[in-house]
Amino acid sequence: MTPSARQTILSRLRERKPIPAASHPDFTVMEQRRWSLEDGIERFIAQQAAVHGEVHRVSRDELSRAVLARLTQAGAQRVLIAPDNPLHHELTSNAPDLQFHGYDQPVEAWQSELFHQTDAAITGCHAGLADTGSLVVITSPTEPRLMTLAPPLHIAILPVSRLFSSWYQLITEEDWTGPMPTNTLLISGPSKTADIEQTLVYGAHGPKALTVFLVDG
Amino acid sequence: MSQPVLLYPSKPEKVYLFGTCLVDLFYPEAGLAGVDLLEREGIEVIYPQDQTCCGQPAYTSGRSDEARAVARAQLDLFPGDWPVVVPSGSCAGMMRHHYPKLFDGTDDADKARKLAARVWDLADFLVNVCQIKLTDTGEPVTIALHTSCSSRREMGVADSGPALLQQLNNVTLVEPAKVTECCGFGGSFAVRHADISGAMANDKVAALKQTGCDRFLSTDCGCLMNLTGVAEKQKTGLAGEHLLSFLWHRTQSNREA
Amino acid sequence: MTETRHDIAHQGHNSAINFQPQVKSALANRQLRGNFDKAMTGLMHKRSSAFADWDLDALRDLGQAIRQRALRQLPDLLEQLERQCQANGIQVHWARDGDEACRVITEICQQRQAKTVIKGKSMVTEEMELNAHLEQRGYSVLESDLGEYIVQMAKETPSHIIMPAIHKNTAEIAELMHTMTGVERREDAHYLTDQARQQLREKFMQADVGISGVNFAVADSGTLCLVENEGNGRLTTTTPPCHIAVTGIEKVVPSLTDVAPLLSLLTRSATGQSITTYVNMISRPRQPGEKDGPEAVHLVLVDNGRSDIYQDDELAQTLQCIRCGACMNHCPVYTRIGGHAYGTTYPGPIGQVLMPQLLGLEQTPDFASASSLCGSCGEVCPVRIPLPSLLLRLRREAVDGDKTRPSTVPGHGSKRSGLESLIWTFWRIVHRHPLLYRQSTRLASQFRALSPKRLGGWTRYRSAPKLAKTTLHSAMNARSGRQKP
Repeated sequence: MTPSARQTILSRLRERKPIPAASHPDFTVMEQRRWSLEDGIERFIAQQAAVHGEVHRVSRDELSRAVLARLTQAGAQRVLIAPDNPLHHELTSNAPDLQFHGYDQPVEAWQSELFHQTDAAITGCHAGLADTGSLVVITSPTEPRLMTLAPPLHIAILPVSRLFSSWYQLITEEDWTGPMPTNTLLISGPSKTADIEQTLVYGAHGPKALTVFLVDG
Repeated sequence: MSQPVLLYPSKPEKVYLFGTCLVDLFYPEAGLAGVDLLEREGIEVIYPQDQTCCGQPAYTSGRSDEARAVARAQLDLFPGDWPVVVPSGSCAGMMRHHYPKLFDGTDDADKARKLAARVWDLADFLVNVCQIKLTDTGEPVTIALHTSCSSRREMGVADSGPALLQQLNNVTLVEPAKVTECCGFGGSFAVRHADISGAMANDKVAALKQTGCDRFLSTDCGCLMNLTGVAEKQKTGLAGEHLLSFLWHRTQSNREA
Repeated sequence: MTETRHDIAHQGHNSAINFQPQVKSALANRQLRGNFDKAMTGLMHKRSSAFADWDLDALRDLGQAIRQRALRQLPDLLEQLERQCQANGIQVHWARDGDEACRVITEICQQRQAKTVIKGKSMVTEEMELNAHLEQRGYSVLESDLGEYIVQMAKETPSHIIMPAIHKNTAEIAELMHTMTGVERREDAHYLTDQARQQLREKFMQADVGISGVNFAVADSGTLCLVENEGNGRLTTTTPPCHIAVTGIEKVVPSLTDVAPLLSLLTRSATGQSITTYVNMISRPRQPGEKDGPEAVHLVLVDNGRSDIYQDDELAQTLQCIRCGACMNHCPVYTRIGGHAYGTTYPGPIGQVLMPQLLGLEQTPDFASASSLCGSCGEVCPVRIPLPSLLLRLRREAVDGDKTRPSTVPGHGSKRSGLESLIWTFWRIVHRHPLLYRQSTRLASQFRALSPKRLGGWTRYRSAPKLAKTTLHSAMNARSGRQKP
């Protein structure tokens, strides 16, 4: 019987004479990327701004009004928000003229509507990263993958308490070894491209705008 | 791994000069200027007459056997414990960084390693070992410097040229655009890939010309031959000179008797 | 073993890469040179500012150590990756070469009765010419990365591994999109990008299969990491019911802890970004209760010559590459001739080192020599691949130039010519014998008026070098005579 590709490749790799020990990875340079909370907030805002992301620091009390203001400013009509989002009730009762929906059926049933007739999506985030101004998003049954991708405006709610210095800090503190959720994302700004003569254009295939509400308390 | 920090020796009584074949044939005045500068610093310069070439032309052409044969002939020419100074960055780089690899696994490995550790770029040696102090005696002049890729990236001594020139009061040092970019010499590359090399050399000459300098200097004879050749062929009127020749001419009258 | 590699690697390349004529026409194309010069100059500046607040030496040391450790454990990590992926519901396939990988992918498409395939950017699928393979079998294949989309429309190949359409300017792209898709001919990157967005949205929704590359495959979690800015990669891996991820076997790392520093290096080295818009970590297909994502995820592990490169300590460093493209952005040769002149999947310094090992030195006779060895590539490589040293190694292999070290790269010795050997033997004899050397150099100086004024390619651009009146040897001899009578 001819050996499988798997056997051939693995045995070829194992044919190799022992590899001389290289230097052990020293992660100090990653550990050094730390900021105090206030410096971290400042950096997060600056890094998001550098990639066309917008950050508003608000208190919990101001949050729903600020989100509504952003939706109004964008002229959004149809807005996605998970029913279990803590803001869901406040928003729906304060803005009866907007249509809030949950992403509550498989995408196949409403793909065209999702891509063409949804103006904005409001999601939570797992964490924020000061170093790169990134949002860490873990997709879930109520906040699926396309929620942060298909609508032209993505509004993300990030509690200040979930701001980490860097992805490395988050990974090591939460011990991201072993099995991971279905899909985890780092999102930094709205989608963009520079493939046409290095001209930076926002809104390539994903959102054209990203607004983060950084919530105190 | 990152480049190790250079540990300079204290200023010695004597040094060996490895002149290099290009200096020998085309730029002997640069070698002599180096000798003059060293002697003025009170250092005796020994020039072994049996030296020929470091072996680099064969080495970079993949001809390690021939390179090793020629390099081996240089290994015994510097028996004392004195530093070996070289007036050209790429030859210094060959001896310092490539001799250990070239002789690895041969009977001469140890000898090659020990010699390599004593090899210095001459300009760097003047700055960091001699801690030379220069007094300018020339007329005001505007100078652009082309530091060779070997001096910059292999030997890590790109600072030495500016450090020397900045001591000269009447010299205005100007920097060409894309100062770190290669001039296109690369030994056999200039012949095998003449069109690419020519395009690079043309761009470098244009950048030097653009600075409005009165002349340009280089620390490496390969770059110098390449760039002066282009400047001359294009009749740009831009003249080039070896850094060491320039330094010696500018500072001659304060030579101590 | 070497023979099979030859057979494997030569698919699609029946004759040697025709480098020199391609170089000539590239150098003569002012528009092309202008496009590359502008882009590469910008990228070099962006990269250096992106690392301004980092201890870059320490970070590169870390990147190198991570890649080397991963390679040291490569077969074990691949098995672990396979186990974890399978536990997560990802189906894992192995392919010895590009053809086998194409067959595996075609079979998956057949099983799914697919008709249309949408692709995210993937260099390994370029390497195995997957698009042509699928199209010949009746599948419609569409590239979704904007640069790849443009290149595919123009029926070209990428000229840069990160920015596929970098060789074209806006006017050229406007003309192309107008001709091919009927949009207005407007030299406006914003307009053109928006048109492409609208054209591709429909395609994403209709595609039966999405094919992507992988930037890092994480063994301990069975996670595929994809790095991108446009969102096309996320759409490719989310919208179609089936996602096929294709990766070279060298891309595996032990854990996400290793990905963090490599990511810091990758995006900054490539485009000067501190991070890309999206880092997409895919660990499973759609789970019960989830509303989107592919129901099937496949991972194809492609060898295609890598396990052979792996056998040699020095050459195995080639496999450390994380495909950032910094070596080409900083290469004075690449900057002047552009990516297409190389005629291979990977251009620039990494291509000059990798392609001869994949295709054979006789197929790539000009690759190792097309470098001034200026060292810029090695200086910027985020994982410290010693590219200049590897180019020297390949030059030695090309002429079997080192008796103390056996040549191992396919096609070694193919550039060893009798005439050149004779010249080097002559050179060696002269430089081995000091007396002969001194006599001949002195004679040359004395008769310097007779030295040739034309020296092949050298004097096409330069005047001939002039021998000095006297040699340094003679001058030093006279000097010591003066000083010590």
